[in-house]
Amino acid sequence: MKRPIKLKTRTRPDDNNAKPESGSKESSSKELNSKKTDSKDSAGKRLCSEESGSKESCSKEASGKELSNKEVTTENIRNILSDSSDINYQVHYINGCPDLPVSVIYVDGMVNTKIVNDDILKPLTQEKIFEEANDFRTIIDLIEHGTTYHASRKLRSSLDDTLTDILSGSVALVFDREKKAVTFEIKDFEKRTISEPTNESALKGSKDCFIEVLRVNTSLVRRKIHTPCLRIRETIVGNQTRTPVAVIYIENLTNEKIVNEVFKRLNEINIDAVTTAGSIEEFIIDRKSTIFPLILNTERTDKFCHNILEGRVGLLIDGLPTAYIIPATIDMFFQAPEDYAYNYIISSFVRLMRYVNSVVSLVFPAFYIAITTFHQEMIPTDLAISIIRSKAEVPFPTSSSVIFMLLSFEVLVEAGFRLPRTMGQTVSIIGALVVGQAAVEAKIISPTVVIIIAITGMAGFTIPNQDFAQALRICRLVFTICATAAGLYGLTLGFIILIYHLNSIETFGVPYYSPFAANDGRDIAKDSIIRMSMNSMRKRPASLKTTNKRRQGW
Amino acid sequence: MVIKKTVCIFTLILLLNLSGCKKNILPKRYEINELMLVQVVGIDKFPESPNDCMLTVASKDLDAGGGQGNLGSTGKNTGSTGEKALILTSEGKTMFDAARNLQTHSNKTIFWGHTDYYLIGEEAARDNIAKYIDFFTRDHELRIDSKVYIVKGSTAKELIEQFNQLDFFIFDKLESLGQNIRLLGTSYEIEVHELMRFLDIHHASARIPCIYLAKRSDDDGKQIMDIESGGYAIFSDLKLAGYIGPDISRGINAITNTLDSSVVVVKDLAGKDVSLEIIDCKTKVIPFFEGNTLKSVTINTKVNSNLAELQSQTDFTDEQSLRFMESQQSVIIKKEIESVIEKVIEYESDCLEICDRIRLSRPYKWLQIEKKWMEIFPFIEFIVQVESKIQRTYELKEPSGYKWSE
Repeated sequence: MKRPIKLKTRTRPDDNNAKPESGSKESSSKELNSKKTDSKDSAGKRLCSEESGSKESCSKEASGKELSNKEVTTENIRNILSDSSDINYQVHYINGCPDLPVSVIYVDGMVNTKIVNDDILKPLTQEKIFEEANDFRTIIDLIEHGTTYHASRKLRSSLDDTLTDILSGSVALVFDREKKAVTFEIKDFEKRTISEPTNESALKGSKDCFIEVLRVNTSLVRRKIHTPCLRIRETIVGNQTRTPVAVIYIENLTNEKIVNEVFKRLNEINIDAVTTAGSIEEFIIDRKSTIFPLILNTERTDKFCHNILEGRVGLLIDGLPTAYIIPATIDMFFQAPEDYAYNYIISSFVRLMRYVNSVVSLVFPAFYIAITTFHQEMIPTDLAISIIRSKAEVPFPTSSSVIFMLLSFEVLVEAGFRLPRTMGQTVSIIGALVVGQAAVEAKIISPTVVIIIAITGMAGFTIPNQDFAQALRICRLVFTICATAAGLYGLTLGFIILIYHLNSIETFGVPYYSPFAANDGRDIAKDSIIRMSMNSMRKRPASLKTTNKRRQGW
Repeated sequence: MVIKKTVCIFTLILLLNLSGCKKNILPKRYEINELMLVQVVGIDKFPESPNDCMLTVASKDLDAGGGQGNLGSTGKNTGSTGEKALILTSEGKTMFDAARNLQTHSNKTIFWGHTDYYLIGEEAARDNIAKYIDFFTRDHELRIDSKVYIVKGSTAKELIEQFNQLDFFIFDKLESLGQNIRLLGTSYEIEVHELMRFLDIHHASARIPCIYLAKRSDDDGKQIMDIESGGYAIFSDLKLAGYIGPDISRGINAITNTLDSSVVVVKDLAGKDVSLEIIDCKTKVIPFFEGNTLKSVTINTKVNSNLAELQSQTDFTDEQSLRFMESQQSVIIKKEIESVIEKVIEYESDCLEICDRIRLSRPYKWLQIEKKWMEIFPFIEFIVQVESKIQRTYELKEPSGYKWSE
């Protein structure tokens, strides 16, 4: 019987590409410590392969201890990976000597075979220095010291590490007699090119966006943040997918408690697969019972880097073209990278509009129901007469019409997302014609209701973050029901509950409602509802409690 | 945490009881198209009936084909389609009674929240205005910024119904009338809260702008009924005492600092007509006491005008010409003020709020005369001083055709 994989996530020992060029001694010692910790972790790691051909081997490999005790040999690797057709096993003789066989193992389609041939196999067979080598120990030593031409090589004495390297796109030279392997990272698989962001349009800013390949994404971050203190530490999540997840932060700037908490929560994840964003997000957020996003996601590199530099922690997941920013506070969902590109007065106006629009999007249908069914005295007489005229002969109550239209709007939006782009336009046309024009002409819906829903929808689309906009859409529906039951009274109660809920959330130790309800509102006037000029934003957000508080003049 | 949340939710549910609705926890709901938005209310006394309070309401007829026709015996739909008003009438022992009776005549819910005008019939005004207006100031649904008019010479019902013969909604007519009387300076709209204040000031009486039905010829020479402004209705002790017509009612506006704009026609040195537009008028009421005795009250008015029109071709840029016109304006305004004072003394009504202005300027002295104010009011010596100034003659310094007259 096959058993589910149970894998302890750990920080990979090859994470030292974050090593500072001129880092402090302290940071270097930390790197070393992390290496030690990694090796300990990897020793206790367990692995099982669903692909295992024989039931016997699978049951044996189910035990992590047994796996970690196994030696690095071609036979063991073959037993675990079994007869997977994409795994390529070859035996080569070093310098043509049959006494010195070496197994070359890699996943076909994930490595660049030309590099394998030219930079690894060719030196092994043709380099004269190998003629003098009589034993594997010398050969491994020579390879380690650059006799092969590839820079990224690792000596593995653990079967688990070797397997991880092979499955993530490395070529392994397995020396059976020495029970060791040298792996070369020669990833070369089909990937999307870096293109313009599709969900967050960039008007005035960098146009590159994250893609599905983690290493490309980390390089995009490196290209923007050159400080040696930038740390990119990886961990693996997903027992089956074994997905590398990079945690990015700036040492001596980011609050270490947040970084540690992120690692702690990532290491506690025990799931099969990381194939969607929710796989990680839902496991590390503080509050599961909220519809509001507690982690900000973005596909724009400039937005990601901006937040890293503010003192937040970034997450990059291999296979996902989206980056995550931790912790997210409510004001971040109203910010767009363009806010910092345009004149601050214009940006302030635009941002203010976003806040107003979010309130409009949230309460407008509910407010309409409240004033037309409970508080008709609030409507100016001429407008009331217009509404009455528009509603003449419409058989349904205002509240039913509004709720029906809101749900229709949701259906249209969902249909537009799901269908191919060309079909999506057809849905819009059908929606506009059927729900809009035809329904009004058939006296099923009042034209005023259509206008209300249209304004609400348009206002909702101005919110830069889709997760937050979706949360507001749910709240809007709840508010509409509240207003249907008790007018403005119900709407006010709903609003109070919403504000209470938002205030009760904490994300990674930071109040979600900050800067509005934290730090005495110090940051409200700087970079929330409005954006002050860059000169006046001298400090990083206070709620993050960053180690380095100043971002200017230090 | 769970207990906290439970307590919070329970408290919020309990708060629903504070909505003021006893039978239902939740407030009552009305669809807006099921409401009849009352915009004009006519208040009359119906002397022949035991139900002496009569209520007439007018709202815009929104249902094509007169959806509320064939009403009950007392309810009467005289409206038709188009922009005319839908009119309902009912009677009752009290205004509230009449208002409830009105509901039985309508297939829609009568909604008072959009009432903008109260028209009080002359009979009701002569009886006791406080009696008829109380319901409208007490009920939460009604607005206290609605305007009040007294209907001179007829009932409010007659005025509403007669005017409804025209293809013009009465609400729109009253709205334009309110703007016009402000431009003419012959009257000034009073809102319900101002009327309440008049009724509450101990010694003051109300002044309410009045309107009346007037016959005029339309373009085809046909006689039609129209609504015109009739100056002010003057109240004494909650009852209508008399009227001050539009010929002198500007004096009231001048004294009470409500004269925003008006036209005064004077003569120039050549004896031709000149129109002066009053742009500003400020009046100070200065009491003069000898001991605790109020000897006189000085009405000091300063009027600023523009030279709006000149019918002669004489040069008016010299000081003498301007002073001549200013002096005439002063005389006209002074005469109007004096006439107004004469009238209010005759009606025994301090509708000019003289008492209140003395109280504010000399509070301690006022305490000495407060109790006998209405006794001394008719015998006060009023000294009227009017200063006029022509501020602007616009860009034209010389009248059209000036050169040819030389």
